[in-house]
Amino acid sequence: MKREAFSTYYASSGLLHGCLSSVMGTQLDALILGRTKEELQLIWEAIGKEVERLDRMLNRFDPESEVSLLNRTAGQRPVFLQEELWSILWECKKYYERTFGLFDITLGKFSQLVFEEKEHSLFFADKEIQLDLGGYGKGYALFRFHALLLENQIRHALINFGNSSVLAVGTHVYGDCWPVGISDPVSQETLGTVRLKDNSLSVSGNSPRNPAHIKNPHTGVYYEGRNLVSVCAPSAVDAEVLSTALLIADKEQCTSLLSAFHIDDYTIYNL
Amino acid sequence: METTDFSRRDFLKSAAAMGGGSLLLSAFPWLQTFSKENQKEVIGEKAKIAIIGTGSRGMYHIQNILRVIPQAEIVALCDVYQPHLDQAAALCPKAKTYTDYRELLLSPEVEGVLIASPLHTHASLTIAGLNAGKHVFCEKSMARTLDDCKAMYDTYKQSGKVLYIGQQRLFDPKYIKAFEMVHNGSIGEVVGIRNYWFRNNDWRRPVSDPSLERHINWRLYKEYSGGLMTELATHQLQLGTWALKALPDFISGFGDIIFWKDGREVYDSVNVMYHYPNGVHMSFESTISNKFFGMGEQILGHKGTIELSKGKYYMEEPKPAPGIQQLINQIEHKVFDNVSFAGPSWVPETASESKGEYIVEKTKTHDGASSTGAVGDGSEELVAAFCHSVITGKPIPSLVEEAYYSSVLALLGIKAMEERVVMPFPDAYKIPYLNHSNV
Repeated sequence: MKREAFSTYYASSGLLHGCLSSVMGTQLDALILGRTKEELQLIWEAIGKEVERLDRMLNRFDPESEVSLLNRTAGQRPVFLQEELWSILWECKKYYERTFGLFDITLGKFSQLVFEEKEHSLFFADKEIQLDLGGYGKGYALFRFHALLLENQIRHALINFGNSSVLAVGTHVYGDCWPVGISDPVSQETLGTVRLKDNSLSVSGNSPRNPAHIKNPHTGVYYEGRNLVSVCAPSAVDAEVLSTALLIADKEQCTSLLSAFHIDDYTIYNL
Repeated sequence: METTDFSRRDFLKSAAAMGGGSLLLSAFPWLQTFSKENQKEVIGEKAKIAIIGTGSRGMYHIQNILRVIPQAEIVALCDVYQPHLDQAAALCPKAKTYTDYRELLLSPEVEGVLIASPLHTHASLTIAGLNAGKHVFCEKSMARTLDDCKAMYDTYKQSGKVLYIGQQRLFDPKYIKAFEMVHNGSIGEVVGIRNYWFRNNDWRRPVSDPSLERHINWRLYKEYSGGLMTELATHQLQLGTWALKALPDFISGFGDIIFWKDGREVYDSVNVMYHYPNGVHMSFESTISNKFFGMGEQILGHKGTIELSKGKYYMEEPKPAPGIQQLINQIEHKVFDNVSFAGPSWVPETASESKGEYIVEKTKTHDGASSTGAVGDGSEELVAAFCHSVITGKPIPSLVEEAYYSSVLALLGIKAMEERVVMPFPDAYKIPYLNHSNV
């Protein structure tokens, strides 16, 4: 897949728009303000490098990625993981527990994962397991971008990762938040607006081009409805995990989830 | 090969939708025939048309007229080759048949004449038709020689009649939209134009008797045909004129017979370069012993590429996700407002620059393999526009100048290849148009 990264600097507003056309299966657009053109370009380059690095680690559709290697090997023997991937998978375990199994990177076989904490290794007791970090990767990337932007004293930025994962640093330059509207993928009408400020938005649901792709790990059933869930939270990964979990959760589970996480805002759109 | 139907009504709608306003008309003045006012003029009328030359191309036009052009009636047919005349008569039983065009031109019933005869007869037939007070549609290329083209043009200017030359791309919505994009800067500055046309066949038609060889296979003999340049290049060379709004100042190239060494006289492999005053180059390349690359018409801009043969354009840089550009514009204009772009994950499909975007929706493309004419290549619209002009009697601006230069550029290409020189555009063949206006 050919990736094109480019950036355009708008001098009159001191705004840099960076765009990476294809990474983690979608497009990344970044709006960054508040430093010189050269400084912003370097920051954007760093973001680009970081997301490509993460893609190479987590993308299960890339046969050379670390996750693909894990998927091919961990069924036969424990695989020793480098620091970061271990931390990521350990965090996924925590999320699995905190969401009563609704967030499950094995899609139903999490109990068959054998984590060896001392050695940082992972073994698949069930050979059929294939890890899928699709519902996590973009959130983690946004978390990493956030750190990068703050390190570089950026006070105003908006990062849109494939429309479903949005990071807001600070506010819009001319207002008190980054106002982002959520559209119905079929009718294109605006369903609601969130006011982001130093937090992240994640939206989950089906769309005409991507129908029935969210599976309930407990029942094995794909969600086929038209509902959308949007979650705003200080943690981009929380938002990412929750927007999917809330879509497939029943009423009771929803209530528990909402009380177990720090959420700024959420909406379930019944369509 | 896309073959979604695109009826003439759709074309009119999209021509209007494409901003049939002054901007479009100034770029493509021949489109004014589709304006509402002009359409009103012809309701209920029928143009009385004669077809001279009822071989493959003539039959193609007859079929189009019978099928989709209600404002035309075929009242006369002419061909010197009886089998061709018979096949046309079978489709138009009410039309009078002739073997001598001079008799046909004497008929007062005939208002417009469509000439689909071999190239070397275009000039004499067209000039005779114009002088006989008829409106004329002449198939491309305009004529076999530079002097003939000039003579046709001069007669047309004096006659006050309508003249159309069969350059169907002038009415192809894809081309119109593409050039709108070029002129509004969507692909940036035009930095190159590439045309190519590859086929793999000997271009021969079956001949029932050897004595008919030069008659049926006229495309292979210099007396009658300019070969690949007049048969193929003339369609494509006008891209340069449209894109650059200029005519070349130098021409050079090579032509050879490399594969079909069967007694033909025209080249089977050509490569011609047209140089423009601003330094941009337009190429035309054609070989008929390899068809892998098919047909190409490519306009290269510093921001994007238009590939007319595929009906697509490709930007050099990817577009921002929908909504982001809007947000950028707001920030640029110091506006604080929400922008709706969030939703379930967006999978870029045709937005990916490697796949390109369609110039117009429901576009028809063809691979240039047909030697009679492809469905939906603008031919129907062109003939319909001619029939319309026959009724109104109004010539269309720029149409003839465009066609003239397209043919002349092809013929100058042949001259450059034969002489193997870098040839400046000869003053003798300049007519008042674009950068030749001060001649």
